[in-house]
Amino acid sequence: MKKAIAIILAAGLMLAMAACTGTPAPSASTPASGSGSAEGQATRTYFVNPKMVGAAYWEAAKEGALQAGEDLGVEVIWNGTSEVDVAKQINMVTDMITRKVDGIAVAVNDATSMTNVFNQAKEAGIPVVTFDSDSENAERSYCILPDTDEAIGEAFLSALINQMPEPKGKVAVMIASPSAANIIAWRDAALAKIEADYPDIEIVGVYPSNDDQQKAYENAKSFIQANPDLAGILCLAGAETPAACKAVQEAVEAGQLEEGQVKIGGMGIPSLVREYIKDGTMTESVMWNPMSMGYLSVWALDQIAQGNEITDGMEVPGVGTIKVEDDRIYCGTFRFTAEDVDNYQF
Amino acid sequence: MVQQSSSHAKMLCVLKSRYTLLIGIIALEFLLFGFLAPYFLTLGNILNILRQISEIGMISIPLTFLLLSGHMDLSVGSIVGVCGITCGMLLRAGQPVVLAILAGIAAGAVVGFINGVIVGKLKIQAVVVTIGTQVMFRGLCYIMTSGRAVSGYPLSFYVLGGGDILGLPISVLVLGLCYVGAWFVLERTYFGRYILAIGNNQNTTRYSGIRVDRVKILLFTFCGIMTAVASIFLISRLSSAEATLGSGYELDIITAALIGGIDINGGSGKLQGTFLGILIIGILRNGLNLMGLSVIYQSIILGVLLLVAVAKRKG
Amino acid sequence: MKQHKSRLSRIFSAREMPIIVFTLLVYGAFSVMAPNFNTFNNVSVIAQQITINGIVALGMTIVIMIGGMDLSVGSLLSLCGVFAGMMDNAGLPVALTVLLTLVIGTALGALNGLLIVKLHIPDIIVTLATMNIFRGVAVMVTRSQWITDFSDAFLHIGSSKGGLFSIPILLYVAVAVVFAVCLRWLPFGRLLYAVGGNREAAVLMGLNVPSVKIRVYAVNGFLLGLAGLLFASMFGSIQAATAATSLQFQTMGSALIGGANIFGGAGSVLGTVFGTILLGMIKNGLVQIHASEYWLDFITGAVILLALLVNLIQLRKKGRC
Repeated sequence: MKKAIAIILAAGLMLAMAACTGTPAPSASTPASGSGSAEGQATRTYFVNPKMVGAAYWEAAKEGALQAGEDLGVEVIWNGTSEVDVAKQINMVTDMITRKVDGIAVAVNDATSMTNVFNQAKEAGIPVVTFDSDSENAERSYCILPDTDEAIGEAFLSALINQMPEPKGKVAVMIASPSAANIIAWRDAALAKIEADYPDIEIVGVYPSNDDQQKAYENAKSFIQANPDLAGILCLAGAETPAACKAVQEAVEAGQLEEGQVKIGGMGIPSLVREYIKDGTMTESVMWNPMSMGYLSVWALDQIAQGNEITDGMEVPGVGTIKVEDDRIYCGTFRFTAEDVDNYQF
Repeated sequence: MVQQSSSHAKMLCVLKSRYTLLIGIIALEFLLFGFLAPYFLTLGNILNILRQISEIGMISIPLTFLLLSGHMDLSVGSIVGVCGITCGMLLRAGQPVVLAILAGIAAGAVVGFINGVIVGKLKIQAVVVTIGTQVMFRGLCYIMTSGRAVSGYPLSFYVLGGGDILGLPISVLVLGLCYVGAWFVLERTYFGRYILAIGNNQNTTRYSGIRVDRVKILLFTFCGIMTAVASIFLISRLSSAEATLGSGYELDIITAALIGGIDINGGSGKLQGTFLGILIIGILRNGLNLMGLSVIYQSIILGVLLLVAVAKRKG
Repeated sequence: MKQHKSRLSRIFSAREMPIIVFTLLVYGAFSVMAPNFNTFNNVSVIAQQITINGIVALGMTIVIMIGGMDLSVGSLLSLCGVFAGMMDNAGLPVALTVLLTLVIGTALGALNGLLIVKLHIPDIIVTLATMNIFRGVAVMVTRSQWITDFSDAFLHIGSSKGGLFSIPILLYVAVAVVFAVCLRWLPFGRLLYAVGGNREAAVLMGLNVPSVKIRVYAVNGFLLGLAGLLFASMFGSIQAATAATSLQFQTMGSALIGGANIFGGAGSVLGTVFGTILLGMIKNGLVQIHASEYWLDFITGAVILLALLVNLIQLRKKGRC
């Protein structure tokens, strides 16, 4: 009986593995043939590595990357760790260098930790680009970002300021992880802007959720209790905004806040904030298209592989005009309201 | 008499079959990935796997000791963070490499000692204590770094994680030495026997005159030290230390030890089992990565593998 | 008079007393430090916040009581939550959604128990494995997307309307009361103590230990189904990969602070409830006193340890240690 169960389990395991081998075509070429171009007539293969898999934001980026693969006729391998983990991310990229792919795009979890790995890639002749989060001093050709960190931080802030009757009062700041470099950079940019231009705004605190939706919601409910005279909430990560909206809505229903007293601004993933932007809990939000970033990563790698130069103002099919400054490619942010929120499918 | 020897033979058989199974799984992995994953069977990749498992492997040694004595340390991931950040901050401040390394190890010894004293002297269960210290030590990491990655080390420090001797990565050599040393301690010294004795029956061990609490404190301190050593190799390989360094390591290592046949209640199991467990998981991750298989399937496969490997034991 | 006194002293020597006193002290401390902490509104906010963890912690308590441990709670909650959300999105009536979610939770919980009993694998290993498997399945069935856009009726389940008498809080109180009654007075409750306290003796007494185990894990799964429903409904959206990822440690923390013994045989509903309240209060209080975001984890960990030490006092006094 026990043996039978064990055998069934083992069979299930084998089946699962067999079923999962669909994506990559097992390459028959022996590793003896050496250099990176040894794949011969086969199509170029690019590895795209997000910060983690399983989250909707990265799933949208994946769609973009795969779309680019289809459009450009190249093979795209998309894989990442199941949680944000620097060491596992490095292992994964190293493994792909071993596999001698033709290009690697990485959304780095920790800017400095990638330096060694990117050097290895360079030695192996594999071009590298970064997207979403950069590793500035490492050997990477380009970095694909929505915009500069300062511009993003200030855009989030302006979404809040625009909604406030006048820029004054108490504002709470919600972030995801207090150790994510880009979120910290946005926070610093937003706080610096407030200090410089909006002296009447008082920051009551910065609340991290560690990417935990439950904690984001609990934080919002708690600081609303602590500050009955709150005027605004600045949300610097995608899952924070709906949590803040929900908490504010409930406080209004319970009569603890006046309707329209607390404005919510910052990053908004359209599918998550759709209902709140339609019922007026917030009126505008800022986002960029993760699909564009995924698409651009593969596109940029393919341009490098073909020896093409990437210049400012280039037209990328499916993405639009791109802005290029030095070795940074910006896909741009956008602002959306109740009128055009339905145009975004992510 | 006859019965006893037959039961002995049976036990031997079970033990044998367990390791045969583990080695069989590894052979199967080689076979499967050799066919399916490009570049799996290259020297570079094999070294790559060994380098990737070296840090986890180092921590798995004291954790195996703790499991054998019927204890558990769920805070090792956070200890990796504390020690790595301590060492990294000193390096960044321009302190000599040796001093920074020693300070990192000292930090590990201190936090391990704290765990040990609470478990040994105050007699609170290890799982409970280390759930608390896991949160607390991780908090310490955030306080020390203010959320910013600690990087910018002297070049000589990178030798640890990236250099090799006679073609073998240094971290792998250190791992090998640690395993040999630990095997000797466990199998050939009184101390090793105390560990198993405590795991089998703590009270009897105490009545036979062994200072159980001291052994526990020693084990936890040792765990802190080995974890610190691993963290130093890790930050050298990553060239930076951030607040989330090492989070989630505890469950990875415990999974490996359990696959390797360590009894979760203590008292039985072998160090080489843990090592095979670590290898199985390391090879699996690497092979599936090379195949480009999504980690979502990887975690499911890992779960099923765990059940298969452990179910056989009493089957 | 004498009898009265002995009753009073019995109350003060109750196992749960230290943790209750400690919780009240922490409450007092936060009230002094944060002006808006000790208000009716805030109390109902805390109550609302702890319902999910509280329900899961009660399940964890009975699992720990029989000497088990469930690491898969977060993954199973996530799986039940996304199933519930997807059924609602598919237009199923809420009653049916609730029923099916509870059935799925119970079945998967029982599966944990079955694997433990039939394959003779220790609890921690089985649940470590199913932790990976459940999470992987949840991410797969949702294709990594947020599940959102729920119907109003579904959102009503987790709504905070009614303050202290909102549905989640009532559900939590109901579950806690049922548990307290069962453990204290019903045969099944006594069975749990027997199985957890001394496995061999329980077997010798002719108790069907495997059946008890499976049933306990099934009840635990039922609660996770309930918690998953509340999660999806309360937050209005759920993402399989990130939902409740650290729940196992949080709820084990609640149960253990409340006096449960990791080796089985001891555990109390009242203790676990106060353990949950303590942890929930710390989260809320730290936000209220504007603690720096980098100090949150450290303070939380320190308070957990302190709570464990406080528990020790009572045990020592009773000569149990």
